[in-house]
Amino acid sequence: MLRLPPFTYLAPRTLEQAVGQIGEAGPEGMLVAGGTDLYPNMKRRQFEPKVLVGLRGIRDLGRISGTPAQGLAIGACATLAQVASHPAVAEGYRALALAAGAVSTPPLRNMGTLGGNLCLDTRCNYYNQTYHWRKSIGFCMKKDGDICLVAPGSPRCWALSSTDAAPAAIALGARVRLVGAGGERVVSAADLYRDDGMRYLSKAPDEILVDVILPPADGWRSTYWKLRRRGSFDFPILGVAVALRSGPGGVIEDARIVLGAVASRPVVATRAAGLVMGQRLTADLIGRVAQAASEPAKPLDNADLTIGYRKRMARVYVERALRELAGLPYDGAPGGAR
Amino acid sequence: MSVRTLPVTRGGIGESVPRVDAVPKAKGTFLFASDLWAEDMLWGFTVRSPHPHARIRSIDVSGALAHPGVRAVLLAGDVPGRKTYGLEFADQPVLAWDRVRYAGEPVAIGAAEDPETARRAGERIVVDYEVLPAVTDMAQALRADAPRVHDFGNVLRHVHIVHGDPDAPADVWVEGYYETAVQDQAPLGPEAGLAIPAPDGGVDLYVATQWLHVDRQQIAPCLGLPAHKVRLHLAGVGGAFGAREDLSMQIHASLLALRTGRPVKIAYGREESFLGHVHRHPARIWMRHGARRDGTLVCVRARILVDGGAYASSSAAVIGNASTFACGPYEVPNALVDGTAVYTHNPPCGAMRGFGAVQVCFAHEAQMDRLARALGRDPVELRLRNALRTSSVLPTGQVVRGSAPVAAVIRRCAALPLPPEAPPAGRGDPRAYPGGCGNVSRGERLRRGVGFAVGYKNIAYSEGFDDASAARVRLRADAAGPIAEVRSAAAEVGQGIHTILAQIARTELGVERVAILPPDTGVGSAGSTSASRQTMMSGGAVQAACAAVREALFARVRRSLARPRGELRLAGGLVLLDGEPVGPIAAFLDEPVEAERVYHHRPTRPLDARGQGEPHAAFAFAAERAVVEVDEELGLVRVVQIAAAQDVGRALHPQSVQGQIEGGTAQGLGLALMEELQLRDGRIRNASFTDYLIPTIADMPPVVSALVEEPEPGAPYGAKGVGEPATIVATAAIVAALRDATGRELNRVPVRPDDLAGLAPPVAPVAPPPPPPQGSGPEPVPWAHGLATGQHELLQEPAHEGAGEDPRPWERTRGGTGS
Repeated sequence: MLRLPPFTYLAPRTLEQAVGQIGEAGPEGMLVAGGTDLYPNMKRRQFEPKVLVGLRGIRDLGRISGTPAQGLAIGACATLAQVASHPAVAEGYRALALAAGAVSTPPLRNMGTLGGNLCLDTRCNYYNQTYHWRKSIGFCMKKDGDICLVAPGSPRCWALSSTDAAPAAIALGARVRLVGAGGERVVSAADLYRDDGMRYLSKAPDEILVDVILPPADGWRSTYWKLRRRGSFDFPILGVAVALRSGPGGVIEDARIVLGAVASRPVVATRAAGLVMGQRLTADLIGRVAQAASEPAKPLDNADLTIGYRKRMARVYVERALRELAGLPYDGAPGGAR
Repeated sequence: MSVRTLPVTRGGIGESVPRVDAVPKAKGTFLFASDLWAEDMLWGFTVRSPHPHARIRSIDVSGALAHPGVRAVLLAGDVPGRKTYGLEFADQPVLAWDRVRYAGEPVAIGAAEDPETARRAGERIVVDYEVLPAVTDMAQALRADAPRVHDFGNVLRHVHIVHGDPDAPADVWVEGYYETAVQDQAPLGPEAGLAIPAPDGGVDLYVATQWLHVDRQQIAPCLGLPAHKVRLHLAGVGGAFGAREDLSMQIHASLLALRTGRPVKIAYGREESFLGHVHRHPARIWMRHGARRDGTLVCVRARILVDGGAYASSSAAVIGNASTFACGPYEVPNALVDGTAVYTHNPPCGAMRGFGAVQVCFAHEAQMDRLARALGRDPVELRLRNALRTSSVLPTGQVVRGSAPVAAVIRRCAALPLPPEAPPAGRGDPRAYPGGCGNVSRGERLRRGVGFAVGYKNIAYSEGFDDASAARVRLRADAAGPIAEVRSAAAEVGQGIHTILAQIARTELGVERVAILPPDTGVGSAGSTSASRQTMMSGGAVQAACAAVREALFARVRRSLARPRGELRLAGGLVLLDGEPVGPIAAFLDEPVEAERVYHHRPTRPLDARGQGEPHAAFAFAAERAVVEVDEELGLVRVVQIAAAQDVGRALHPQSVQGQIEGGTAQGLGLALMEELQLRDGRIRNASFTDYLIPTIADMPPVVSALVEEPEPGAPYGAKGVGEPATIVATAAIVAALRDATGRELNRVPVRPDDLAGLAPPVAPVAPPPPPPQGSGPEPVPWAHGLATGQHELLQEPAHEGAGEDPRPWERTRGGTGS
C-alpha cells in the first residue's frame, strides 16, 4: 500500500505565522491547501517534505470579495467548488468558473482550492509514477534523476502544465498577490509561470499565493474549453481560455487566447489574439485565428493520446471557443444528419 | 363466509428483495479485506522485479534485517514446501529464485511492525539482476529465435477446431483483422488479507478471493502443510471480475505469519494491485467469413492469438473459450479455428469477466456487419437468419441441449425503443454531448450511429471439469421461530450470491429468517465465483440441501400426524397438508434438521485433436444495441443508450440481474472507449486510476433491458448465470455503432479519439497470421510437463461425490477416442 511519508503538519492561523513557518522550514517545507494533488504525489514520493504548512486555517484566504464592476479578489483557499458556483465569478469571469468547475470531480473540487490549482505541479507520463516504477526505468531529472526521459537529449524538463485555472486566469488578466518574508508583490498570472517543467513557477518556494485579483469585467466575455478523455475526473488533454472585449458594433477591442496542457506553462497565443483586434468575428477570421493559435502548441509524447491529435485539437478548440463567444451557429447539423 | 388467504413466504425467488449486504455497504460499516486488523499484527511487504526478464545474481537482505522493526525477510529458499504454484499449472514461483519473468514479479517478502517500516525495509533489499532480452510481443514469442519464457518454450496451449469442410465454397467472403488491448478488472478493493498463525502449527487466512478451496489447494503445498491446517475465511471482497481467481498475497502472508508467529496483514496499494493480479488477455484475431447470397453462413475461419504473459494462470481455459466461441452464436456448418495462447515476458493474463469470449465477440460481430454490408442485408436480419437454437450443432460437434433463445434475444433487443434525437447543438445540457460534465463539447459535428451485437458464453467450467458445488443447510427454531442456516463456501464478491442463496432457502423451506454463515473452508468447495456459475451451482446445491431438509422434516411431520396421507408443503412459517395448516414449522423442530448436498452440472467432454467434444455445460446469450454520438472533429463519444436483451433462464432477483447487465455493460464500454493497460517493453505505464481510465457515471448511458426467460433444464428454477454476457456484447455493439457513425474501420479496442478523428489508420497486422505451432494441442503444454495443479488437483478430490468424469480430461484424448 502507498503510504504518506512522515512529516510535521503546521496549522497557522494567520498569514504572518504561515510566512514565518514556511521560511523557517526552508527547502524541507511545502505549502498545502486542499492537498488533492500534493498528498497523492507524496505517496508516490514525488515530494518528501519534512514540514507541511497548511493554509486552510487562515480565515482570510477563503474570502471572495468585490464585484464584477469593480473587480474581484478571490482568496487562494477558496475551493474550486466555491469559485465554480460563485455568482460574481459566473457573471463577470465565466472562463474561471468553467475552468474551476471542470477540475476532477465534485469531491475533489470541494477540497481543492483555486490557489492549489494555480500552483499545480506539472505532469508527465514518466514522472507521475510510483517510486518503484520510476526506479525500474531510471529516474528522470524532475525527481531523483538527471535526464529527461521524454526528450533524452534535452537539457530541460518538459513536464506539462495541467492546471485548468491558469489559462482562464491569464485570459482574464488576473494578477496574483504573493506574500513572503521579504514582503508582498503582485504579479500578473501569466508571469507566475516559467517555461520549465521543474521550476514551473516564478513564485519563490517560501512565498505564499494569497489571492487572485481580477480586473473589472466591463465589456469582457470569456469562456474555457477543456478537452478530456472521459466525462469527468481527468486532467486536461488541452485547455483553451478565450476572453474578448467588444466595442460598439461588435468590433473586438481586446482579446486574449491562452492554451493549457500543451507546454510546461500556459501558452499565451499573442499573435492569434492580435488577428482579431479591431475586427468583427466572422467564421473565416475565426478559422485563421484558430490556426495561428494552435501554432505555438508543441505537445510532446508525455501525456495521454498522440501528439498529432493534441496538436490538431488546439486548432479545433480555439475555433469552437471563439464561435461560442461570437454567437455563431454551431457547426454541423444537430442530431447526426450526414 | 370467510375468505382464506394462502400462506406465502416473503422474500423468496423472483422478488427483488433488499440485498443482505446493502445496508452495511451503503453506510460504510461493511469490512473489506483491507480493513482487517488483529492484535499484535505485522505488516507484510513485497519486493518486486523492475525488469521483465532478468537473472538474479544475488539478493542482499542484510540492510533490511538490520532495520529496527523488521521481523522477517523471506526469499525463495525460505519456502518450506513446493516452490511454485498456479491456478491450473504450477509454473509460477512463490518467490523468484533464479530468474524473473515479468516486471512486477515478487522476489522477496518481509514483515515489519508498521507499514512505513515495511516500506523502508523493502527499499533496503538489494537485488543484483543481470538483465536478459525479453519477448514482449505475442507474435514474436512464436518465432524460433525468440527468448524462451519457460524451458519448454513459449506455446502455452494451441486449440485446433475443424468442423465440416473448411474449404467449402461460399458466394461471398469477408475478411478482417482485429486487436483488443489489455484490460484490467480494476476492482475498487485492492488485494488484501490477514494470516493468523494457529496453535496447531497451521494458519488461518482471511482473504478477499473468488474461490477459497482452490486458494488453499495452492497455498498448503507451498507451506508444506496438510490442507486441513490451512483454513481460509472469506474477507469482505471489493469486486473481483476474475482478478481474484489467482493468488496474490495469500502464500506470502501465510509464510510470514508462520515464520514470525504473529498475524501478518498484506494490503496492496493501487499500483501494486495492477502488478499483483492478472489481466484480460490482449488478442490478435484474423477472421474470414463465407456466406451464401441469401445470408446463410457457410464457413468461418479464425486465427486467434492471445498473450498469456509470463505464467499460465487460466490462459489454457481462456484460449479454449476464445476458440470454441470464435464463430459466435450462429449456426456455422464449416469452420476452421486455430487459437494459440503464448507465454511472453509481459505481466500474466488470466480471468476477466467474459473470459475469452469478449475478444472474439468483438471480431465475429464486426465480421457479421461486414458480411451484411457485402450482401446488402440488414445486420439484425442476418443475425436472426443464422441464430443458434436448441439442437444446433456447434463447431466442436457439441449439440446445444439447453435453452438457446438466440432469436428471441435478438428480436427483443431490436424492438426496444430508440432514444430521442440529440438536442440541437448548443441547446442541450452539456452532459447530453460527448465529453460529459463541463465545457467539452456543445454538440458540434455530431454524428449518431447505431450498432448491434450478439454474443454468448458458457456457464460454469468446461472441457471435462466437474466444478461441483457443496452447501449445507440447517433448519432450526429459536424463540423467534424457525430459521434456516445456509453454509456455503461461495464467495460473495459483490454480485449478490448471498442474497440469492437466502431467497432460495426461503422458497424451499417456507421460512423468512435465513442466516448465511460466513464462507470458509470448513464446508465443501463451492467452486469459483466465476464463469457466471454460482447462481446455478451453489444455488443448485442450496436448493438440493433444502429439499433434503424438507423431506426429513416431512418425515417427522408424518410421524406425528394422525393422517399420514396427503401433500405436505412449507410456506409462511407453516406446515401445510393439502393446503391446510397443520402447525408452525417451529413445532416440528425440537431437534434441528440438517443436510449437505453437492450440485453437479451436466458432464462435459474435453476437446480432441480436431477440437471435437462436448466442452460446455450450458450457455447464456445476450444482444445489445448501442446508440452513440461521435464528435467527428474531437473524436469524443457519448454513448446515448444501450438496449440490452439477455437470456437469463429465470430471473431470481430481477433488480440484481439488471444490475449485472448495467455493470457488465459499463465494463464493456470501458474496453470499447478507454480501458487499456498500456505496456511498453513489458512495463505497465498507467498503473493508477489517474491514468488507467474506467468509465464514471458521467460516461454511462441509460441501459434499457429486457430479460428473456426461457428456463434452463436441470438448473435451479431454470436460472442461468447473468454476470458476463453483457460485458461480452457491449464492447462489440458500441464499436459497431461508432463504425456506423463515422464510416471508419475501427478494428482495435479501445477506440481512441485519434481513431475517430481520422488521425490514425486502422491497425494493420504486423505479419500474416502465424502458422499453428507444430505438435501442440489441445492439451496445454504445461500439462505435458507434469505441472497440472490447483483446480486440476482439487477437482480430483474424492470429496466430490458423484464426480464421475475423468478429472484429467486430456489423458483420454491421447488414446484417440476423439472423433
